[in-house]
Amino acid sequence: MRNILAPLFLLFSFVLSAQNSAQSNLNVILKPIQSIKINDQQQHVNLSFETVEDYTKGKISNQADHIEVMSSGTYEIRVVAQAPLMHDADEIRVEHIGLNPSLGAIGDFRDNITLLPVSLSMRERNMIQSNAGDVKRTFNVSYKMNASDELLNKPVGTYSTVITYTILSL
Amino acid sequence: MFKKTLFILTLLLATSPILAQIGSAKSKIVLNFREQQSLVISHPSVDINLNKGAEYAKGVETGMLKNHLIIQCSTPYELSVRSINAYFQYENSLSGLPVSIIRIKPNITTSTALDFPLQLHPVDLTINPQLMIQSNNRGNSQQIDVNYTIPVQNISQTLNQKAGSYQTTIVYTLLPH
Repeated sequence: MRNILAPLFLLFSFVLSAQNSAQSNLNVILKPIQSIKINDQQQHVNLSFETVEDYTKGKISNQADHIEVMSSGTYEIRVVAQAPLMHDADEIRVEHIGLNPSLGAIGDFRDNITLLPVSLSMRERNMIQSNAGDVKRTFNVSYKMNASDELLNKPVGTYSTVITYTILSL
Repeated sequence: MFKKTLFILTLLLATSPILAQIGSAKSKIVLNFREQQSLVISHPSVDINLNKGAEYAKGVETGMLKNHLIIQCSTPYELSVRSINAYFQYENSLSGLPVSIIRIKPNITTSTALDFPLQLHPVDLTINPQLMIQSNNRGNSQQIDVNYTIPVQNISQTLNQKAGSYQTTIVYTLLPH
């Protein structure tokens, strides 16, 4: 029995010694990243009041896939208006405009995204909150300007403001 | 008597050159064909940085690391690669980020003449050895470029991880046949 074991041991030890190994350390370096952009085709959103119905019911403009975001972790999207809606010296309060976000076409459905309809304001408002990151996700935004007496007796023309969306890491 | 003496002298003279050649020397030439092998990694540390939004959209890679593996082997061989852990290490403990997000792509640019082409296999990193290179040649001397990547289909696994450096040790093993 001993005579059989000895050659086996020699063969085994030879195979072990024939191997040659080398090591390298691999580091994956993660940094918190967020990005946000408005759909290139939707840089201008128009709410045109042209009919009686517009003045009585308000006006809606639905912008599909309006906001595109990327975030390596949890995030929040806020919105703020730069100034009231201005036409020369005349102005209309931005609070008449409501923003209603919804999930867009890009990005899987998740139930840990909170969508908050907000009124536009010159103070930053939280509109979307996500408890997970997204490589790429879009949100629809419905802009609605409510009917209001404030819209009456205003000079005809285009009243405009700049809206800024901001993404923050949570 | 004279004839006898002459005969003995003649015999001695005739045999002396022969006797001088009786001494001989032997030289033993040993040709020892031992198996030669070596494996060297040129880059002891490799970093993959995820710090741009575009990298999340397209995936990320180190780019081809020139001559990352230098292989010398006198026989056909196999080269395998593995990670020492199934998950990356983060701040001295194992994280939830699997090493299987890493795909390793070999490429050859420098080699001795080959009778048989090298078989290069892109591999997904795991804790188990994955066959990456096979050579059926003798007298191998190859320098292998390597690209470490996180393909776009794996990039979502890096989401929701703490920022920082995630580390593992990769072991390459050369096995001559």
